Amino acid sequence: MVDPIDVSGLTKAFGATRALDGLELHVRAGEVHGFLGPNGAGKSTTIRVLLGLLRHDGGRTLLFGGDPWRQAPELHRRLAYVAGDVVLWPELSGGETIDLLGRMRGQDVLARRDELIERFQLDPTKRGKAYSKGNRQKVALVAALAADVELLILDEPTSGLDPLMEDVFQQCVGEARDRGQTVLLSSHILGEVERLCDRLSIVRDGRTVRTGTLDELRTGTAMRIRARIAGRAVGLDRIAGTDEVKISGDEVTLAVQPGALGEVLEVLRRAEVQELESSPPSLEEVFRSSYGPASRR
Amino acid sequence: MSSTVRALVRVTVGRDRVLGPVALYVVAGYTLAQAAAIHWGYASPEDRHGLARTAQGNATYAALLGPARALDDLGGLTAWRTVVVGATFAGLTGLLLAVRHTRAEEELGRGELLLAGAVGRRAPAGVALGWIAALQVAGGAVLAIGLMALGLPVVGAVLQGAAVAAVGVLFAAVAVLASQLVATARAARAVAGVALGTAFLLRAVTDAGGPDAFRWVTPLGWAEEVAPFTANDPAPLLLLVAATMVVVAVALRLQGARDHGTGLLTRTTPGPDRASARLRGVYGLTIRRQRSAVAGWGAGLFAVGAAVGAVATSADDLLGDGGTGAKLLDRAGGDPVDAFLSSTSTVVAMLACGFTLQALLRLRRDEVSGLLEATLATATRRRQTLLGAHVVVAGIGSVVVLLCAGVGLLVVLTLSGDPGHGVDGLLATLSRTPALWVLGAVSALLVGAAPRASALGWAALASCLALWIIDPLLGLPTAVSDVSPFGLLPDLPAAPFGAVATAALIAATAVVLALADAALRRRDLT
Repeated sequence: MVDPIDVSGLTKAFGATRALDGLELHVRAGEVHGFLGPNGAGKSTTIRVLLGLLRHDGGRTLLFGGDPWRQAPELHRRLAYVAGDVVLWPELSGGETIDLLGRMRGQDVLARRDELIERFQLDPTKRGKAYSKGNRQKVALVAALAADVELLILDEPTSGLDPLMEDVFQQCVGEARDRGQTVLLSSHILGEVERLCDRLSIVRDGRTVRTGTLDELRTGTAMRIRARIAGRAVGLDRIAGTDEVKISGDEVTLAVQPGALGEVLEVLRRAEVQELESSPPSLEEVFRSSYGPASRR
Repeated sequence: MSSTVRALVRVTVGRDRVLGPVALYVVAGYTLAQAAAIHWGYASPEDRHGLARTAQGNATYAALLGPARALDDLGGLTAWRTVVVGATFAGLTGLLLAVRHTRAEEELGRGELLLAGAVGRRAPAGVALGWIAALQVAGGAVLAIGLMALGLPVVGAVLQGAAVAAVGVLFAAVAVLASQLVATARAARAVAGVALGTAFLLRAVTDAGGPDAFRWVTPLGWAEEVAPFTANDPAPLLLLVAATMVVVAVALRLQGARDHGTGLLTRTTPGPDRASARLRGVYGLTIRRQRSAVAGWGAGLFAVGAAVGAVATSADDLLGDGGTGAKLLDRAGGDPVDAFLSSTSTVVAMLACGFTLQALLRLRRDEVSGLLEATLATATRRRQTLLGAHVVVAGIGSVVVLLCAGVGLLVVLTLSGDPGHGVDGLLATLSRTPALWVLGAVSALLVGAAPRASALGWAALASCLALWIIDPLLGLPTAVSDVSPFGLLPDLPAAPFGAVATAALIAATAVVLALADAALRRRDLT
């Protein structure tokens, strides 16, 4: 089966600015794929290339195995998109917009429409210009989630939603996956990503820096170690792969890259370790290490 | 000046790097081109005297340009050709710029960003008005200096520059007032545009023989009464300034009193909770979004058509002997009403072309706002979205709008017992359709190939109007006057229908649209 999204070596420049610089993104059918990165990393540009709004400069960009620039209309029948900054037609009501978007995707009947309007507590009779940011997002989300499409492309879809609606959104994405839909979810909300995503790609400066399941990304990120020692720990900070070494009285804390663990344990053993606690890197630490300056990685 | 106001001024002025000079060109350029044409084309008193005899009796000219005073004088002739039209152009630039800096900003949400800073609620509108006033005064100064350079008396030149600039500032203020009443930039432009149109129509009716009292209720009438180079009366300028101050005071007071983002007259009524069967695809969407514009322009042009019809009934008395009027009369086979309808149909069509351009340039506004992205992320072809829907709706809408003008004419002429000329007028109006289409196509090409310069479509229309006014004066070679599609088309009903010109313009429309389509499909969307 062809991967719904298969992007490799993607480059795109706007004038002198290189927005995308060899980006990789592989989304497999049926998975929820998290698309993460700091602001300006190139997430929205990638999505706009995938939608055929921008033409790539180089690399391979395949959407359902096709060319998103040339075959946009055909390919778009198979996907629904929610923009990060949803703009609605000011003259149309929310309900009209939902129906119209469905029809323009080739879907005359939106089976889950009314149920989703109910769950998102959306008033479909308001005009586009009267909705708040969160409600504009709800309109776009209902239109996308109600559509029977293979792929959902969601660009920071919950940035305007309240926590209750965020829960509804997460349930809906879970149901979409259960129906076999593929989801590309660009997000800054770590809890959402941790709960929903099967795999993630983290981008920075137009390049993919990490990709894999959350467990795979955790491996390779420093773990935290806290120890109580009776003797003296010497030279911990000189071991390659350790960071944030702190010794106060008999307590030692530090971050250790997986490769340096043996050496650290050896030093601690010689320092007559009494207690030892290790914790796997949190998702936040995975992000921080990927988002931060290159030296930290 | 506080630092926040300084920053505000920088933002306001910086956004008009392109449009500011365009506004200057519109305000001063038309008048100076006309003045130069007169300077060289009518150098001898005999020429001017000949023109004076004919112009005095032409109702179309009277309606469009105002009363002719002392036409055998270079200054008087120049003022007659330029004061009313120049002031109307200035009013138009003033109102468009004012809406752009006030209601449009508020609608887009950028106004909120400013107000969240240490900026007073009235400051953006105040700064915008100050900036537009500066632009208009600069335009007026360029105009006055230009007139002096052509050897016209200083007092008249200064008064004309002042009158034109004062009308520009007044309508900028009117637009800021309109921006308080309605919540969208489109509606604000429409309200202020109707105010300017009404001002123009009132004085047109007066000058074509209507009640003289009308002149004193319209700012364009006041500008006429300044009568540069003849009466040289500065008193009406005070009326213009006083009116501006009142409108500004009211507008700023309302601005300070209302909630940001709302319009005082706008109520939001709930819409349907689901879409009707007709709202499908980009065609349904575009029709739905343009229907109110078609209705508005249609109603406005129906009124214009009716006014033209009312004046046409007395065309017998209005067409003088000799000169341009007589030439038209000859071609119309001695029928003064047909002669009158020939020239007015062209002007009416140029007005209707405003709809065509507005409808097509919506494409660019949708691109900037992100609505185009929403459409193109669905299974909609670029060609359908970009050209199909907008071109078809603008093209058909243009015919509808022209038809409204023609029907207005027909109704009034039929009521006054002359249905024959009514039908002539209707057909004459409709015969101008290809000119609207070709200018629309040029706008589409600008959106495709030079999106940032897409507003130049308006400059093209203004140039056509200027060329049409200047042409009979200079007797331009047809190669020049035919650059304007309105000049290329035969002026029905005085001239017979021109199948070749019509076919040529339709073919040109098709070619330009094909180029626009190619350009639009090749480029990134912003």
